[in-house]
Amino acid sequence: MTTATAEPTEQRSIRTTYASDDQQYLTFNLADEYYGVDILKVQEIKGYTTVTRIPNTPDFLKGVLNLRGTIVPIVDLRMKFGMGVTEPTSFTVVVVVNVRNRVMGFLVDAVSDVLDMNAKDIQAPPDMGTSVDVTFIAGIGNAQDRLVTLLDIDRVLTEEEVHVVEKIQDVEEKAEVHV
Amino acid sequence: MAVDFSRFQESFFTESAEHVETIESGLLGLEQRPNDLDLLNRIFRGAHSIKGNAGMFHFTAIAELTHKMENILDDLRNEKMPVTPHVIDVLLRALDGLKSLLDAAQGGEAADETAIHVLEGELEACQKGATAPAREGSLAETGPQGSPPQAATWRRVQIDWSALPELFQRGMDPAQIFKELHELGMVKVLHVRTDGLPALDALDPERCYLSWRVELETDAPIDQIEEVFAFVRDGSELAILDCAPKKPEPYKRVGDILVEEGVVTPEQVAESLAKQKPLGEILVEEKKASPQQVDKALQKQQQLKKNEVASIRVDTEKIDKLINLVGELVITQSMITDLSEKFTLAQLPVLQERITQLERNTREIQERVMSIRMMPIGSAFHRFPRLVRDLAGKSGKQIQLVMSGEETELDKTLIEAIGDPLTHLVRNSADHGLELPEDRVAQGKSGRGTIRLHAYHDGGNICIAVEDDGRGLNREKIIKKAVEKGIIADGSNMSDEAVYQLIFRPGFSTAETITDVSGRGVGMDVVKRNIEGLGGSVDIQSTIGKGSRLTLKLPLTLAIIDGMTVRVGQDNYIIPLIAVTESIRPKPNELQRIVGRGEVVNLRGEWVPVVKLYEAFTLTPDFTDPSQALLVIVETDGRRLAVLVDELTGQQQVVIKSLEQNYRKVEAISGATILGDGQVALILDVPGLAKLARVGHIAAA
Repeated sequence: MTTATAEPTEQRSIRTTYASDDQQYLTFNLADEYYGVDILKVQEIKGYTTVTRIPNTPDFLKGVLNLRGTIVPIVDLRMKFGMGVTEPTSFTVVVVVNVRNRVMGFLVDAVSDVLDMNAKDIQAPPDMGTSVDVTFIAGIGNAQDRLVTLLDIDRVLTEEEVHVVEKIQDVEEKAEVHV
Repeated sequence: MAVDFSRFQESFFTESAEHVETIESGLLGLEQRPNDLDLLNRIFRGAHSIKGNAGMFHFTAIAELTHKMENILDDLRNEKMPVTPHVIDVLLRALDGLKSLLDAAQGGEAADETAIHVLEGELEACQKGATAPAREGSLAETGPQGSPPQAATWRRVQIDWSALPELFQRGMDPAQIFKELHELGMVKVLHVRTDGLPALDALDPERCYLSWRVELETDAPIDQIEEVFAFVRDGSELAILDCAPKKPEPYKRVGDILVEEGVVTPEQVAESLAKQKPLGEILVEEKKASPQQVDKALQKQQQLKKNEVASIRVDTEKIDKLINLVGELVITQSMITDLSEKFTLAQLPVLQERITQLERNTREIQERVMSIRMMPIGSAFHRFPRLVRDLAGKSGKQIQLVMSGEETELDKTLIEAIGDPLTHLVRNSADHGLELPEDRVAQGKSGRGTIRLHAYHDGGNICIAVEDDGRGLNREKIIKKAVEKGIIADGSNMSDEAVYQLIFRPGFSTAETITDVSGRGVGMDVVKRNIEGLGGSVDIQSTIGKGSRLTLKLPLTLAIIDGMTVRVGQDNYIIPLIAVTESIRPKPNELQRIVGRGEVVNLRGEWVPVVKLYEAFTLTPDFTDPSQALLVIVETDGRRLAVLVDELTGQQQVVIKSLEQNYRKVEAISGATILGDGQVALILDVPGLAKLARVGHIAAA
């Protein structure tokens, strides 16, 4: 379901699931843009501490962090979206989410607030526009006087993984041939 | 309800597996000591418990098979038949059938009824063959007569009998009646009604106040049952109720019908059935699947099976202690909280004291929790007496298995994980290591070969040695084969150790060495990989003509390892201590650059390839010159690697945390751990690092 062909069905499902009720989104800043994620996916928000780098992983994977005994990978969302490295400030936080039974964190410049949004305020993502790859966008929300890009966080964090896992398997196969 | 029921079933399977083990080891012991009545009783009890429990859960097939085994065991116990290898064989085979039935029941699959039926037939034949003559010889013999014939009239009969009060005065003994009833079939229920019993002061000890209900399973006609009561009938109330047959004509297999009609004999059926092959083999033969694919599928199936039962039995005592400790921990924690709320500097000693207490609690809990997972390794050894017996039977060798150190404890997951590798090593020893009796005698050895399994603690590790007194590894042969296979170019100046390690290389085993015994798809390379995957190592010692000894060295637990912390620039890594042999700072003249192949270091005459961690992991190190930094010499696959790091920062026990749980597998990293300051440090996977650095060809050249 991570291929582009699955898109239309995905959009339809957004309308149907969101139609009934208001939904809450946690919004945050990346550079000067506003983004939101489904609050039910968010496990907690944590201050940024130094992470342990993992060798030979994509740049946007900042490293791993100790979250009360669990090792949690941290993704630099700015890097992921091609907006350059996040420079940690006192507002920088890690949003810890639970995606398909995995705990992951992503680094954002600052969290702002929780928005209630009705399905009618959410539009399908445009074909083009921001510096963000459209496949990660669940929709564009119109809240009060500003626009919020709603992220499909499952995709943001797992698409990369599918990619890398495939790469690793390639390497392993080659290695076996080699031995 | 259903959920509860399945939970009990779970424990039924766990218990049954234990009983099966007891029976198996018991039978093997019995073969050695046929007169050991205690042992026989133990086996009997095991079978009996399985039967009883199986009946409770309506696993009729299991109950029936065990029942037939029990009949034979009972005859053995009553010395109606002698303990012969044949009887043991039949019982062991029946036990295998029982295992497969249990497996099938657990997996909710249909069992292979035909095979089971053949086993039942064998059991009956075995029992009849041995008991029939005995019965003829002494007609007066009483007591339960084992399995009654499965005729169509086999049914349950309910007998209600209130004896006349003068029963005893007439010299009758109700017990005798019941004994006679039992001879007609099997008394399933014997219920005594005591409601006629008067108060003690009114009781006449010579009168009989009791009445009974007997449920008898038999094929005897009603008048034969009535005959039993012939002498007590007068004055008694007797009601015999013939219950309808439990099931009508039972389902019959083709084989049975053919046997009944006299077309074939049971032996012929058994023979033909033995020719049936597992699906996997057929698929391979018809070239519809490769052996690897089938193996993979089988492994997956095994894995799924393993996933089903993941329970562990723990003494209540252990749990109670744990709960006490947790209680203490909570108290200590609340004491510290309390203190921190109104803390003044003057209370620092108190705080320190309480933190020490907290430390002690934590350590104790850690130890206790670990001990829950610890089990004696004996449970992994259980299968070997049987295995060796079978192997000896098949290969015509005489093999004695000596086991020691069964009480050595190690982590349950490890016990499960080493089962297959150990089996492979034992098979190898029996199959390739030991010679045929005549060859052994010709060499002046005893005709009977010995395989020794020995487990012992060695520091923080557990060692398991598999030793045989067979022909030993042939250095020249191994080198020849390795050269043929293109694994090495020339082995003339390799150390013995390195030569022996060659047998662990993938693709080393050849068609010549594969027999039906060791063709299970687990090669020595898999053994080695499995053991290394558990953080262990395999060591070989061998003397030609004297035998060989393979030693598995494993950490006591998978959760905690001894690690060496190293630093490269800003980053800390842990190298498992078991892989580290030494660390050196080389002199510049000991280093040699090989064009296109990196750098090697001269370690007392041996050229060891250097893996630069900063290169492999793209880090920024303090030093790039090995003569200024440190080389940690690690050993993997029998080869050495020199890992270049900036500094050794310490040695500590680390708790392994999974990276895969939330992320994925990372090359050359086996996991992560949390250091004292809360930072995460990655644990190096030494074999993976070797692969990553692609130094394989350097070491072999």
